Amino acid sequence: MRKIIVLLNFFLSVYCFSQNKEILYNFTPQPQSLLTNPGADVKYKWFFGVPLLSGISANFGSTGFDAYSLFANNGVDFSTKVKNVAASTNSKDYITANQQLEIFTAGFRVGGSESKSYVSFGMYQELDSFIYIPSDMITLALYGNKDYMGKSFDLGHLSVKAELLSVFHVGFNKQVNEKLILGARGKIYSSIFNGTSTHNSGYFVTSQGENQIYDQSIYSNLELNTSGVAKYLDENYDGDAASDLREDVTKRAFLGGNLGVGVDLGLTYYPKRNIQVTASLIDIGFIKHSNDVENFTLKGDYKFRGVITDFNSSGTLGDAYEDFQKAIPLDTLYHKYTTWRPVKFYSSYQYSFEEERQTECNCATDEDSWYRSAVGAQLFIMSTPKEPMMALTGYYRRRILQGLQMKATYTIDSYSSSNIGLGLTTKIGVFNFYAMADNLLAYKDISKANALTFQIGFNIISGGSNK
Amino acid sequence: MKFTFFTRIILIATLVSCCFSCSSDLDFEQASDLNIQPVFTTNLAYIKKNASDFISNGSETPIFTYTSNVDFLNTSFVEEDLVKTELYFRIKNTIDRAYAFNIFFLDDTGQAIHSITMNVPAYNGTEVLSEKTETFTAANVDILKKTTSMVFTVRMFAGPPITASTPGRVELSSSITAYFDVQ
Repeated sequence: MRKIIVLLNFFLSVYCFSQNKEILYNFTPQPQSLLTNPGADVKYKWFFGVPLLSGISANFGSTGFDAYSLFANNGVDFSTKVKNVAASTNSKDYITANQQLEIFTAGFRVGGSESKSYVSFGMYQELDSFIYIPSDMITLALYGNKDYMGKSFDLGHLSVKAELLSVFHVGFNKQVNEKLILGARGKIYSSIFNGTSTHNSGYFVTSQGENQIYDQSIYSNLELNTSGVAKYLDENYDGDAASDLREDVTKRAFLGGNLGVGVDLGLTYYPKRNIQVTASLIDIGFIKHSNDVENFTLKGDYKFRGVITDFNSSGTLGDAYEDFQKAIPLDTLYHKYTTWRPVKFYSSYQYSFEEERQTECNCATDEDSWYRSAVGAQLFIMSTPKEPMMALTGYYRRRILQGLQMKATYTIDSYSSSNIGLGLTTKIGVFNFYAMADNLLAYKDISKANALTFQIGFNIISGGSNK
Repeated sequence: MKFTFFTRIILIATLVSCCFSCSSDLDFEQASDLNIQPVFTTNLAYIKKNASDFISNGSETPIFTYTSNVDFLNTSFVEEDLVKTELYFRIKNTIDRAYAFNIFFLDDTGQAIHSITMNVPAYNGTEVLSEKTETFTAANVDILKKTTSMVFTVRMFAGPPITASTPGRVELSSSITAYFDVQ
């Protein structure tokens, strides 16, 4: 029981992600946009983020249902709501969450004042989780098997992953020529906790039998891999969970966890001065889990002959249950495993207009002219345990005032087709502050939102771009 | 920065509008009101006898008895959440003899506290089918809860002689359907 509670807490507390950062992507006044494209057209002499405050982002998404449909205080019986949600979702629906916190970040221009090469580095903590709705299992639990003769309940619907990790990164960004900027970022991942159960299969089926009343069989190929949580799952664990967690998180966050490596790649290309094309691949990487791993499997097949299978011996019903347990044992193993980071692909096409010449030379920028406005389109694709997640964004960017830029987005994705987002970044002297939020329409009634994202942060930036 | 004041106003207004968003009245407490009524069904027991099984060394063996422990009906889950149980029995006969099936529910002292009897007529050219459903609800579920073993007997009535080559079989199939009400 304790194990189940710990596991549930683990998954629920790290609940879920929809990693699309459509506002931040290519919003180049913000050095953080380098994390979505290492080849972004970002200019600075140097910058550093205010520690712990430079980048705070969180997002939450669910497809198929929202908090309102389950928890509305509207007098409808909760069990009815659960059944309605179960009926309106399928195994392709999911709940995701992602949260990132920049611990520190900084960057500087390398070479002389004419150089257009930039280095940036930092560390951030990330929480990722992805839970598919196991709709067949929910149906089985809600209604049982009696009215589902012949239906094969798919155990493969169970697909869950959750991870808490820290990421150390160093990126290099270089303007190769007038038209092309290339960038790459190396990453070291240090996994603090991981739980992955994404390669499951199996079925449970009951059908009308020939001799027996029913032909009933189960085939199970379920596996849950965990790292970093074995201690807390141990029934004999009697430590102080709070202080142990603090210690474990701190130690593992600074390269004491299960390690992995990854790379981000990106580019910005200007076929014309006012036309910009960008693309990036983020988190091409993996983590090797070898420390503190524990794997649970339920593998085997079993044909239910009946409650009473053995007459005239001392056999009991317990024996049938034992047979079942022998056929599909719960095994605890300790083998290494590898998890792949969710790969994100971004791409954009932007058209700039309202060209303006620099009128007053306060030399805050190194450009001789700039465009006040731009419109563009972005594509986002991310790998998930099942089908890739996609989003298409149209946006409008405008420099409203000196030192104040905004980007408004309209995004269509699996969560909604009416996602309007807004990002603002302001720079007063060297102080930079930004705030971004999407799904603004949903803030009218947050409980009916399928997805929400926000991001804020403070930086100190010397020199900068108005592009 | 001449627009500083203006800038800040816009930023603050944006942030405030984000922070003071609205939400419909949600009640997370209601999760404890979840009430589900799953119905599970599975095979109970299966007994198949060929005609030739009733003869050994030239003489008829008219009675077979099978016993099984079923004390598993006595678990807390069954006690608290089981609201109705249906036991379904189906007998198919293709032997030219009549049979009686008895199922006795014994408590832990070995006393029969409930019994079911099914009579099956002799085969007459088409397969004989006999069915019975026994329902246990709150009123009589105590019988199931006290049952620690079940005894199945098959008794063959007198009729035309049986030899080792007599065709046919008599077959008992059964299932249990459990109606749960989980609060």
